[in-house]
Amino acid sequence: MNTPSSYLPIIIQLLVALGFVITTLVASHLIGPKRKGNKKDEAFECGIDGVGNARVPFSIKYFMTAILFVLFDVEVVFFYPYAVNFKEMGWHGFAAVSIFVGFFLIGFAYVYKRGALEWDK
Amino acid sequence: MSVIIVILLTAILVLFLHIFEGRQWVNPLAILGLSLSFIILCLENNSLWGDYSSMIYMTQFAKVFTGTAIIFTILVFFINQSRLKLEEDTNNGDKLGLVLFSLCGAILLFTFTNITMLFLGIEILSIPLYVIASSSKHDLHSNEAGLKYFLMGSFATSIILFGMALIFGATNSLDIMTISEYFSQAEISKMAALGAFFVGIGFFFKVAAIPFHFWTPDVYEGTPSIWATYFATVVKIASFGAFFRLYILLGNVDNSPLYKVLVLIIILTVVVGTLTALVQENAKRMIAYSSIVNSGFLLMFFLNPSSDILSYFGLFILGYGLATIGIFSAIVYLESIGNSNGFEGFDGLGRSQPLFSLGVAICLLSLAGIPLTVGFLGKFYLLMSLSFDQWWMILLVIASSIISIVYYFRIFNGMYFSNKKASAIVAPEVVSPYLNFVVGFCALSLIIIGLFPDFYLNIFQ
Repeated sequence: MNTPSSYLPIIIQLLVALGFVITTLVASHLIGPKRKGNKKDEAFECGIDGVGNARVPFSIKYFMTAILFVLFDVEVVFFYPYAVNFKEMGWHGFAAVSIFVGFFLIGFAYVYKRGALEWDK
Repeated sequence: MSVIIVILLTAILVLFLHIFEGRQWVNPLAILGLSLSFIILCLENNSLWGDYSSMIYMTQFAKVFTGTAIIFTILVFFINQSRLKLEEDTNNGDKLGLVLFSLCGAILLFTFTNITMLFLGIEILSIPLYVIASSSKHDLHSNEAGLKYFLMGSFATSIILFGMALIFGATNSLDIMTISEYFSQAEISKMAALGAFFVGIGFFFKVAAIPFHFWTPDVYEGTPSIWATYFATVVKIASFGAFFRLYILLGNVDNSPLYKVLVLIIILTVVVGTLTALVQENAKRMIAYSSIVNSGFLLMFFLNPSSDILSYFGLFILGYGLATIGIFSAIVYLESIGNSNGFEGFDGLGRSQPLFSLGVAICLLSLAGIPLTVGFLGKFYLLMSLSFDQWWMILLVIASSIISIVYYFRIFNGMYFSNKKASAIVAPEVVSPYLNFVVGFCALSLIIIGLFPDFYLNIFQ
């Protein structure tokens, strides 16, 4: 199983995928009709005229919320494997998970107290 | 294990004390917690921490290195205390907390017995430091340093991780004893050799060996000086501690793929590092290049690994760390009175602050390797460890040490032989007692351990 030849199917798969993409792109470029114009080259936005620049700075609060969401989301995900093994792991597992959740609660209290969740400040 | 727990709890307490109206007690609490963890480290017996799947083990080597890292961090916090008297810092608790978290990572790097722990240690050490590097929010240089450090650091970590994956593929184990047994065979597979090579390259990034050093001067220059002290000492020790342990396990064979790379990198590091340090016009950049040259010297210990080498390696890194902390505290003082980081900032310091500059001078002499200091002994033992057919390495060390006196002497020259009047250049402000303490501690321990090295060397037995 460890010889390079066992990777052959993967390489063929890769070549087929790449080949398909390149062929269709090149073919549509060659075969398809081309019409150019100011109106034609505009970005299509559901039929509505584009306004302004897409690269406007966002408020940092959105990032804070997103990052904190990821943190606590991961915490919740850890409960699933623990719930499955709840009985086998016994009190030792319970202690470990309590410490884990405890750290997260400390983190939550810190985030709250530092004002990261205050939206209109 | 209790050392790591004490440091972690201190970090959490520091974070909370900061938000609950106890800002002025944050720094003393951090120093107190670290002192407590140092005492616990000294009292605790070496033991396998079996409850954690035997993934960390406190050897005597790890114990000395952990102690050294804790003491260096305490000194850095003392330097930090001198700053707090002058300016209000609303984020001090966060910074101290981050440094303490990264210290936990450093301890994992000394104690790991499983390469998963090695990876976790590197990450716990590095991630807080990316934030610390850019902690001076409105300074563009600091932002640049943070971004550069983050990109370079994560790049190096991913290379190490790739190497680990290859090693795991070849040996089917993450335990370093099993891996080390595999590597001591006469014939090792190409996959394992490539893995060891990649891990080595990643660590060359971390310890800033040339040609993987480009981030070092920029990061040291941009990072606020107090935290640059931490980067230049504790982080250096941590990466070298882990690299040394790993090299002894993976590279201890004559046909090791790492050996030839290592020799090449040592020559490049010492030669290019020494010559580049000569042309620097900024004290912080000069120290950065001096730390690169010292990395080259430390890598020379890897050439002939034996059990004695461990203690000599420890002595060298102790001398380097103490001297660097001393010089950085002078830079912090000069910055606090508004002097530039250039060498002219040191002009007249010898007359306006005679005792303080005496301490800094001793640190400089130790880095240059003048007798009676730890720096000399470190280089002496380094030369002792090299064998006769490595005579060109010995030449390299001696030549580099002689040239290094030139660039260390530029600070020395500014302090003592500057023609400008002391009062005209350096405002006759008093040096904070905390800075005086740090420089005094560094200078005295450099001399005392330089005179009686046996005391330190025996701890390793």
